[in-house]
Amino acid sequence: MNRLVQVAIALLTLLGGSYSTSAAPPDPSPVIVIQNATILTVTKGTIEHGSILIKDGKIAEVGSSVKAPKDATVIDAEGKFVTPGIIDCHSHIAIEGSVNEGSISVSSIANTADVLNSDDIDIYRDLAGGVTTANILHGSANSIGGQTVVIKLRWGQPASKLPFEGALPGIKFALGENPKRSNFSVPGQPKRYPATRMGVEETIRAAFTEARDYKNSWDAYNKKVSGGDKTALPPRHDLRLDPLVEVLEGKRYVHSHCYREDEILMLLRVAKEFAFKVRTFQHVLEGYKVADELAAAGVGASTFSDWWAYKVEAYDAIPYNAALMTKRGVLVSVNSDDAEEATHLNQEAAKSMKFGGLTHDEALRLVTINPAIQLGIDKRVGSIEVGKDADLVIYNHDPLSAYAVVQKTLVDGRVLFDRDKDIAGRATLENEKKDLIAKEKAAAKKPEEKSKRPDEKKPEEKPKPPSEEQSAVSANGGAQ
Amino acid sequence: MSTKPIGGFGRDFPDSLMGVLGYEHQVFVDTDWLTRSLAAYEKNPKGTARPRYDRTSVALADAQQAHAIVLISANSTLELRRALELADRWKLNAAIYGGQAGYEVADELAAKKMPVLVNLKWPEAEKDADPDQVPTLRTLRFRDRAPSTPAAFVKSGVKFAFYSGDTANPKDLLKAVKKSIEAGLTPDAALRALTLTPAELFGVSDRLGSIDKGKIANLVVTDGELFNEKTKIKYVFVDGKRFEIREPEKPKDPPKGDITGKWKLAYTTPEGAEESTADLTMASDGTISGTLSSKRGNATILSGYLSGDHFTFVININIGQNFADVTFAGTYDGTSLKGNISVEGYSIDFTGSKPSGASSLAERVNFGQGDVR
Repeated sequence: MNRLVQVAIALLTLLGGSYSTSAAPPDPSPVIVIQNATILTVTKGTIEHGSILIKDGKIAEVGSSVKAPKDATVIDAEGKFVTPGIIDCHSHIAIEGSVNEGSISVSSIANTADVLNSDDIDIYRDLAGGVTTANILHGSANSIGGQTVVIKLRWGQPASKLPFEGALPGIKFALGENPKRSNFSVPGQPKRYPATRMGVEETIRAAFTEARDYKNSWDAYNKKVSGGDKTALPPRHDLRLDPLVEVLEGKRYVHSHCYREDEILMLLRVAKEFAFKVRTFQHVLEGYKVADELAAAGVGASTFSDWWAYKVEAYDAIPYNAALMTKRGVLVSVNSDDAEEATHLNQEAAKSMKFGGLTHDEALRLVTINPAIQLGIDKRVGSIEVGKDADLVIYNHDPLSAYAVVQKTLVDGRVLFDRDKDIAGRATLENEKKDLIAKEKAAAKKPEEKSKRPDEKKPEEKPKPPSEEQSAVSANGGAQ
Repeated sequence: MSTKPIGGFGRDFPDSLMGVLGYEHQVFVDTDWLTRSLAAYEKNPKGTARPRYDRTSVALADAQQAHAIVLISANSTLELRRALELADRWKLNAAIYGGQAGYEVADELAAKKMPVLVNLKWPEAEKDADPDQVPTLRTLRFRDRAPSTPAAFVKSGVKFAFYSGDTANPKDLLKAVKKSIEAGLTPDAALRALTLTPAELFGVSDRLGSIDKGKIANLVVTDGELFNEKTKIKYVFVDGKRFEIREPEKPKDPPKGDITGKWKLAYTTPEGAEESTADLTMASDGTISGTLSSKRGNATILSGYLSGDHFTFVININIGQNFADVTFAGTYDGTSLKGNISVEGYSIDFTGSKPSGASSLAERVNFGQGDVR
């Protein structure tokens, strides 16, 4: 049944909805009241037959009785469930071009924030699965990968409006098979360093040694300047090392891809040596083996519900990972790493009730407040509380049920996904598409009519194969 | 300045869009640093460490001081907005080239006073596209609306000029302009975008771009409105020198048979045996049109005819640094072609036959949509 629901959601989201990418500022945020709902606040229990008042994009009131202003838009959620918007701590949606700058082992000069693709249909599809915030990570091809950015899924807004205001930026690290390119080397082509786990550690150590020296040169310069030296020349800014200095200064989060316990402990040792913090371990499929060490180091774990054995280093994965780590005091989230998986993270969280016996609330936390804390945005999102952003999801069933389907998703108090409207609007979009295809075909035929051949009086009106004019020319068209 | 991934920095860095942008940010940071450091060093060279010399930064700094225009490649909505951000971030005297999704962001471009060079090779359906690939609505809308960009630019006040881009053939150029006129651009504005505006953008409007006393005599003489389909160009003046446009020769006799079809042409060049495919269409008066494709590329037939059993057709291809006319002439006996190919005084024999349809797939694999020149 779970699969069926997944397929249904996938189909539902396949067509997508509004395609507009207007740059105009959105309409002033409407005043909305959601009434008669079962409200799963995550941090303050469950309210039956409760209401939520939304003003200026924020949650203004929550309770069993809320005064609805006259001008408020009322959403009757009788029999429905409201949760905070789902937060995906590991996503690669909305990136234009390659997710990896794989040419070098330390690609911290690259930044996913530079290439946000606000037109990516996966934004809309993930909204349809209840996701409202996502951590947009660089890939795992490099020991130290690119800079990362937390976005809100503000479908319809330009790329510059996607980043989560005030969220600390991050950087992707990766350990194990991916950065050492175990499964990706091409015969005959030279291997990129590193090719072993030892090399991965050395790469990180070398980069931070360099960053420390670089930081010292800036500290020395700043000292000179503050001491009144007016002739001092500033060091050259190195955009590869700047993010690492920010890591050393606690101004940038480290999100490290990893699988095995040994590499997890390795990075904890290196971090201790250079006095920086790892904010989250990503995947961390053997986290249950070192849960105490993770808890002691205060490092978050963002894992899969039950993906396993897709490569050697993932053989020891167990679906109890999230629950076991939670019970040992680790802050755990469940992530998608995949645009489709993200559309049912509520169900992925629910699996930890079956595997490991987490409570309903504990399970829900895995995709709401826990990732919010991991990303340092829990003051704004992750639970339904007065003053927090009105990022909300309305489900037809309990979100941890396999039957739950998203009805509406709100971001900043605006309904950005509405299942009924989506279904109602599909015919219009399909017709527009048909019309445009027909128009192209008609235009393509014109020149043929002009040049009549000698022996044919009138060319037979043969319908062309539908394929001729249909192609997947990318949106940037002819310009190379 | 291209924001497309390219190779060749260290170990093929950058090979992603975000790597390209990271690299470009670094280049501008370096330029800024070098400019400041050199100035500081010049003031006080004694006892100061000499700034690291970097050829790229020095060249870029010089260009910036000369207020050189920085051309940024941007065609989609995303790219256009990104180009605006880059120009802001690095305080560039920038212009965009591409610009075809400009109809979506015309107001934003106007607000930043960003000039745009508009690529006249409008996006269109790929001829040999995968039959199973249905384009997205976004792509269809883009192909439909791109030619309305110039009109949107006029409305919003974006300064723009046209450029040929990948337009295959000189005669397609005015056709492409005409498309934007059909989509709302006035002929006057279109003409300006082909003359005075580009001259202004590149700082040569004191000598080019308009008919004015003392300006260089680069002129076009037509027998009607420039953008009228039936209009013929009579003369082109370059530096005051007149060039006459010759009408292609008309067939003298009615054609014997129909030369229409896909022909395999075989010949031997100094580099060995070669083949090309001629896809010919003949009109009732014997006029031949079509395309030629070989491993050297694709070309459109500029003029051609079948007069009696004698055929001639001409293509123009890139030979080394220059473009040259290549003439195919000979006789058609109803089933095969026989004749010679001449280019710049050099001539070789060729034969042509009609293969059965089976080879068409192989042709497609070999000759995609390459440069049609």
